Amino acid sequence: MRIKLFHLGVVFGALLAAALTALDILFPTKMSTSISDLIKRDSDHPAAGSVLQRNSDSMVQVIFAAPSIDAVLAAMEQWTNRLDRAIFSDHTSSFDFEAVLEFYRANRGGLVSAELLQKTDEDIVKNRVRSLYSSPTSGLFSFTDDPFGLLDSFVRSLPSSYGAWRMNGGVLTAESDGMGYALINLRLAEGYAGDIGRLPAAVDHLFELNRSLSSDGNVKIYLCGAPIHSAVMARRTKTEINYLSVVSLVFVLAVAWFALRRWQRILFVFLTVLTAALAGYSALNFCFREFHLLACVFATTVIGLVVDYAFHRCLARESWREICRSMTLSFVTTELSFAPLWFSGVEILEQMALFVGVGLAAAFGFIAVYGRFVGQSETEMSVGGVKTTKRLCAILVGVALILVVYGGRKIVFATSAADLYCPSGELMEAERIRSQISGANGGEALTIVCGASIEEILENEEQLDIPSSIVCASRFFPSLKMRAVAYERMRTLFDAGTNKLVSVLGCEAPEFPSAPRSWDECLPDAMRLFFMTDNDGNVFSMIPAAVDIPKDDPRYWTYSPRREINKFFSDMTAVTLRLLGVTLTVLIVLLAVVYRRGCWRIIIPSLTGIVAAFACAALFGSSITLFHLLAAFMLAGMGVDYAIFMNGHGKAALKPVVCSMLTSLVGFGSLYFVSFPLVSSIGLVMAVGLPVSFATAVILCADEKKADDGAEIAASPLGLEILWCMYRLFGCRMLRLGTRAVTLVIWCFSAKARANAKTFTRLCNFTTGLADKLAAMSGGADAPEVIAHDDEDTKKFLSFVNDGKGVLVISSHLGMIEVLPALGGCPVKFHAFMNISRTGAFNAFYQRHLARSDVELHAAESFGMGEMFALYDWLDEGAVVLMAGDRGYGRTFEAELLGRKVRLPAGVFKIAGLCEHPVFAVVVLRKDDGRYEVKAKEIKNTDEAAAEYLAFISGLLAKNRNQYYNWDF
Amino acid sequence: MRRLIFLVSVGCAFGLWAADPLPATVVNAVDLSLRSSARWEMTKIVAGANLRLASSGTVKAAADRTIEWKTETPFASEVFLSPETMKLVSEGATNEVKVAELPHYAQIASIVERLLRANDVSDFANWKTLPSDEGKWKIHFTVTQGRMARFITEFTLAGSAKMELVQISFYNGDRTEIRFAPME
Repeated sequence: MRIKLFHLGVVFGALLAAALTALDILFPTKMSTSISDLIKRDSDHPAAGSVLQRNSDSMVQVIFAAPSIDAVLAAMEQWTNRLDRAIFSDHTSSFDFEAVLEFYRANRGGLVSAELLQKTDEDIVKNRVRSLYSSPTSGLFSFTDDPFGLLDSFVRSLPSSYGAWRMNGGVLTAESDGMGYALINLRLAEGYAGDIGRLPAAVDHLFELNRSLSSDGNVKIYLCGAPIHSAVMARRTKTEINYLSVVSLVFVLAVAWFALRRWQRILFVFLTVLTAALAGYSALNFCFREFHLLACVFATTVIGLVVDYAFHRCLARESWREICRSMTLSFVTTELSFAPLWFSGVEILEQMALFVGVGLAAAFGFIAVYGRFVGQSETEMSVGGVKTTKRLCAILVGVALILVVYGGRKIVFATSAADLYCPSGELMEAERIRSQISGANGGEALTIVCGASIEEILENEEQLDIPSSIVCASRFFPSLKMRAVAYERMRTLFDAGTNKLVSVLGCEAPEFPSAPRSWDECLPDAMRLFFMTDNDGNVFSMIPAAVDIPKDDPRYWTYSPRREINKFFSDMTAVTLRLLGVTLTVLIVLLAVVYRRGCWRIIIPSLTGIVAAFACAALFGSSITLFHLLAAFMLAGMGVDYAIFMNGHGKAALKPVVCSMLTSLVGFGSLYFVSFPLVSSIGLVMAVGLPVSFATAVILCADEKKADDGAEIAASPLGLEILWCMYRLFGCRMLRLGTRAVTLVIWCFSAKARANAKTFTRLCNFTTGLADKLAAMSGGADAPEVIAHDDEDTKKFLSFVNDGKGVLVISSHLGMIEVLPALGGCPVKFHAFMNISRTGAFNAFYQRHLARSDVELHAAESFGMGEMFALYDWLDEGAVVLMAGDRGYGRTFEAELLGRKVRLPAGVFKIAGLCEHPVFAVVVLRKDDGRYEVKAKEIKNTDEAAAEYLAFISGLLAKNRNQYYNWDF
Repeated sequence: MRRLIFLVSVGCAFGLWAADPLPATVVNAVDLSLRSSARWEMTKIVAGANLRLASSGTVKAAADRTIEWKTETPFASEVFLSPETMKLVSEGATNEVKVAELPHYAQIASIVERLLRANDVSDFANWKTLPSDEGKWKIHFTVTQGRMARFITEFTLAGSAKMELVQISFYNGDRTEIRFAPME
């Protein structure tokens, strides 16, 4: 039956995978991969992302180097001839040069060089005739298209340099350090840019060309640009991760087989991981139109937690109910630790939080529903004793502390994108050469010119003082206004020079060019290299240098891609660091509510792991980057997870935690060996942080045998002080509200509380009573209302108290006897003997705050002769002395209460027989209207005090089970 | 099938032949011409305008690869060409530009350089020898692709010990024919 149900789970997993895959196919989401995709939504300027993307995502620069320019050009020609033009288009070599000439020929009206415009008509004609006769070569254009050589002069006047690059027959060449260089700008075809699946193959084509041409050793070919870096890193990272994945998988399977021993359980672990991954990915698909690859890379770390849960579920020797609490708490803390990322305002962080949050929830749900089918572990674990493990862990933590001491001082947070990525030597050399030769044109700083149309942009550009060496749109495409002026000059030339040209050469009269048109109408797409449109439809041009621009003029702005990227990562690192602080704070608060003073034992493993990992990174010379911080979120979740299980289940949790830690360590720690720094930094944090967190958790939380002495649920001093402040500020009603909120959390996360209280009402009554007790014993103004029951014994009791006759009260854990001092008109002092060791936090609190009240607490555990004499003295002075009679401490005897055997304190009833003062059994019960009612029963025959007391208690207990706070009962 | 294989083999053989280095006689003639002086007569046909422009003058080439190109008719002018610069002197005025900025000159210089090195030119041009008189040679180049094809579509060289004829067809349809004769 179990197997069949398990198969049901397998079918469920398969169906889930199929459904989610189908949805992914039906509603595909774009996955972005480049840095510009991260920035486009978070930049100061709406067009910044477009500029960056336009400037980097699809452009590849190829630099040819050889001892001479001719050798470079020859190699370049061979290279470009073999280039696959379906993948790359060329912007600086011959492929589009003819198109440019043809375009200028078709729009030659007004295209004249400024130099030629300054000459006289006669000089222009004379030079043209001489050139035609004496030069063996021809112009770029035919005589009929360009009779006076005006258009030829315009083309020759175009910027022939780009930094140190000079136009050499349509190709940018440069000479430096005795070497000749040529540069080609290539553009990736649509569909390749940003597609990490297709990009490596496209770039491989370039490397293949390089290999085939640089085999002689004279020619060296360098490839630059974002696509090259993306492809190289993607290829290398993929290869490395593939190898590491195989090693990790073998190791994880070995650990899984060693630990789980059954293929069903291994399959269960696998299905849990699959569920998490599919659910997280689907959530991203549905919530984001486009998400970033890095979100997925980081989110895979959720596997570590999911495997941990699955191991706990499969290896638990306890029932699901028993491990559910720890797992729920771990789940809630992890979800909370990632929750702050939701509010970061940074989309990629939100994507990561969504993936991890949904993936973890799905895995938790899967384990909760199907986990019972894998059954409980029957075998005793064999990972060694807790003491031995603790010794080993102590050594590890010691090493970690040394790391922290030495490396902690060197921790530096990265502020530059260069800290995130360090390319290979060859790629760095290529970028160095490009930057060195390109100089100001290298794209380090850009000037962006905005306008409503291309013509307006050109006019705006022409108003700037742009150095002649800078390539810009207005030089290649003069504005209509400029061309109109030149066109009028052409008209006078044609009018004056045509006759002379005809008479000298004997040709027909040339045709006057047509009037210039707006570039907005006639500029083909291929010529719009300088112009781009942002997501909002704004058009702008890009000058590859920072030039002087008017201040606060919305038409111009300067932009530095490198600075923008650095700023983005710097801001994101700061945001993430703050969020990590928020996460840790949230975890501490939550754990304080659940574990009270013990919360430090739960949170310290995570903190130790994080600090040790950062210190180790610092020792290795790395700055702490965004990705170290993101891995720290993961480590926080896993560290808390280890501590919760070790704290809740002691030795029983050691094996699952060890298995989980080892699989996570190998799976994620191996990422350290990946050469891509972003992935490597996650690996380092996990490789160092996981074992340190585990070791700290073992030292702090693992016990040979978990103590469970049935003590009352203790409260943290801090929590009680907060309640006290609430009471003093807002009164008893607010105090009750606060305690009810705490009660809810305790009920959810404390299995012990649930086991003891049995019902939520009982726990709620208890905590409400604690609040009232606090108010009553403090003697505050807003104390709960206490009334007396209308019966003879109660009246007698009150009269004895008021008359100061000294009354011994045998109290019980039924109701809240501590509110008795709030009964109106009690002028006497109260002395209460309590088991202080079981309620240490409460009593310490009372000792701090009740000095001004009429209640004095005394330790029942240390009751001796001294206390005996003091008790008689207090009674003789007319005080009321309270001693609990329903729970045994010291010497006890057995009795029966409602059919159950209980042990009662013998001393209390002995004192009752000897004290020579009135003895009453008193109970203060809470009524439905919130008031308390005092009921007393005089113990008349002190020799049978226990029997009378039990009879009185039994009658009331039968009707008020929810107010009986003796958890041993 | 055998015929097909034969045809493919022949095609490959011709391909290999076409990729052979230029004949030494051609290379030597070009080299010698670029180290000596000559008279030239140039006819330039300007496409579209039906113009036939004739001019003549002298050329002096030196071993340092500088060329002095003098036009005598129909008017006087001088061009001093070096691998780096071109200086035009006419009616006392001098105008100097860098060769790299003159694509057509740069291309011709590149062609000449390749010819002198007797290099394989198959990457940018196909060439074939044409019939000529005894002791003379004539070779025709068709520019196929690359940067050179932007300006020059084909050219022919002819001569004996020295180069005697250069015919160039330009991309815009213009054609130039230059005949060289020994200096008197």
